[in-house]
Formats: sequence, structure tokens, C-alpha cells
Amino acid sequence: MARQHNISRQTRALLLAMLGGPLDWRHGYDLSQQTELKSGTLYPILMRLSDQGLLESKWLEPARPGKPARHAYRLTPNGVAFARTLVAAASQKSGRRKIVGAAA
Amino acid sequence: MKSRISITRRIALALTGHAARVLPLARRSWAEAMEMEILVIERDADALSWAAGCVFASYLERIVAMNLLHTRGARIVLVFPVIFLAAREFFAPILTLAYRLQGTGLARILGAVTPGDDYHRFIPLMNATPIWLQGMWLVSGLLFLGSAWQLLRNNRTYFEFFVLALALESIAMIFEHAMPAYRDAFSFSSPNFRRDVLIPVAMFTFPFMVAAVLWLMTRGRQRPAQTDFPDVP
Repeated sequence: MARQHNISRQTRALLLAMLGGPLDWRHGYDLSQQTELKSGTLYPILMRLSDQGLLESKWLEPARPGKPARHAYRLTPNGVAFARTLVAAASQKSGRRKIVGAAA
Repeated sequence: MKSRISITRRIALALTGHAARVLPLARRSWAEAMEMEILVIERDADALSWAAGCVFASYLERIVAMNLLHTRGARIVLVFPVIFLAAREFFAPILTLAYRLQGTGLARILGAVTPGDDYHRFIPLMNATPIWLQGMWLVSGLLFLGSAWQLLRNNRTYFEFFVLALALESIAMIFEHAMPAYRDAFSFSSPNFRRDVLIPVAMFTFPFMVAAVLWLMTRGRQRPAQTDFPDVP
């Protein structure tokens, strides 16, 4: 039987948000706005994902002069695969729920 | 012309700077990321909220990096409550033994730390307590001592020893509370919040709190499971 991953709701939300554009580099504040995660929750998750090799980061030069360089993040191939397994597991679960609901 | 920076923005910048200083050195790039990110947030209130979150995240990372629970000092400190729990298990058998062997001096000393400050009130309870229940307390105490020893040796079986001791103690407690002599010994004419509520609740919850800390210690030291993907928060 496949092992169940014990992942917080916030981590799941972040992974799914990043899976939306797996090749795009995303900034912390943008991710915070999309996922509605506060910085106090977002940064520890980003750091943990990075430690686990699921996330890569780099400094991006500003699009407009006068703006600061910003840290940007995106999922590694391993991170993308991991996020996809989460999506698959979630859809399987909801499918099972529908079957049980229909049978009841 | 000089651009004016609001007080809110100044506080936000100061907080982010503090967060960057609190973060461990290994997280330097993250500290810089926080400091840069705040510069692109337009609304001052949002910047302040973001900065407060950064401070929280930094302290969290700092505490994680300190790894307090997995130090030799933490294990040594934890040995004391575990030994206290062992002593608590040995208390009733030793008091009973002292009473039976006419060791009134020792019985009086031990009785002084019981509710009511006198061992005489426990004589009917000691007479009614079966020997196997005393044995359960003794075994539970020995298991607690085993847990303390394994804790000193940094052997992870300390948690198994502790859980076994706690389980045995809990079973013994159920039998003990079912005895009419127990209820008689612990019923007092005048109510006393400290004696009747505070101390019993503290004594009941204390071993579970120690168990929770020990569990956290074992949890952090586990090797990662062999799976395709690592565990994430």
C-alpha cells in the first residue's frame, strides 16, 4: 500500500499553487497573496521544501531599474512530481468519497 | 526632495532587519530575501504585517536550529522528572513495608508528605491493598528507572520503557481508585482546592507531559523513511 504523506494544509496549498506554473519563478509575496499564507507560515515552509530538495531558489534581477533584486522560487523536478502525486491522491480520495456518497 | 517614510514603514523595516539578524547564519540568503521582499510591498500596513510574520518565522527557525530537545543537557534534565515518577511508584510499597515492619520513624516521615500529613489515615488502605497491586507499582517504578537509565545512555528505548511504566501505572490506578478504602483515605471533612484539585490534577497530568516531551525527542531523532519523497511539514 502506498505510504500516506503527512503534509499540512498550508504546505499542500503552496505546492498546488506552485504546480500551476511549474517552470515559473515566483516571489514570496506573490505566493503569499495567492495562497493567503502569512509570511510567518510561508517562509518556514519554503525553507523546509528547499531543505528537502523539492524547491529551488535564485536571485532575480528586477524587471524595472531602481527596484531591488528579489528571491524567487520554483519547484524542482522532484518537487513537481511530489506535488502531482498529492493532486492524484486528492482526486482519488474525492472519487472514493463520491462512490461512498452514491452508495449511501 | 526627500521622500518621507511613514512610521509604520519604519517599524516594518526595523522588524525585518531584526528578523534577518535572528535567523541562523545558514539561512543568510533567506534573511536577505525577507529584507528585499518588504521593499516591493506597497501598502505600509501590509508591509508591517509581512514583517511581523518574518520575525515569527525567524524565531521559529532559530529555535529549530538550536535543537534544544536533542542535546545531552536536555536528556540529563529529563532524567530528574522520570526518577521522580519512579520514586512516586515506590512510595506506597515502601510506606506499606515500613508500616508492616514497625518502622514507624520512616512511616512518619513518608506520611508527612501525604494529604493529611499523617500515615495513620492510610492504615486501612494499606491493609486492604493486595500484594499484586503493590507489585505493579514496583514494576512500574523499575520501568521508570529503566527509562531514566536509557535516557542517560541516549538509547531510544527510553520511550518504550516510559510508556510501559505509564501503562502499568494507569492500570494500577484504576484498581486503586475502585477500592472503597482508597476513597475513605482520600475523603476529607473540609474542602481544600490545593489538596483536592490542584495537586491531584498536576500529579495525573505530569507523567503525560513528560511522555509528550520524550516522544518529541524520539521523533526528531528518527531516520527519514525510505520513500520516493521526503516528509515535508
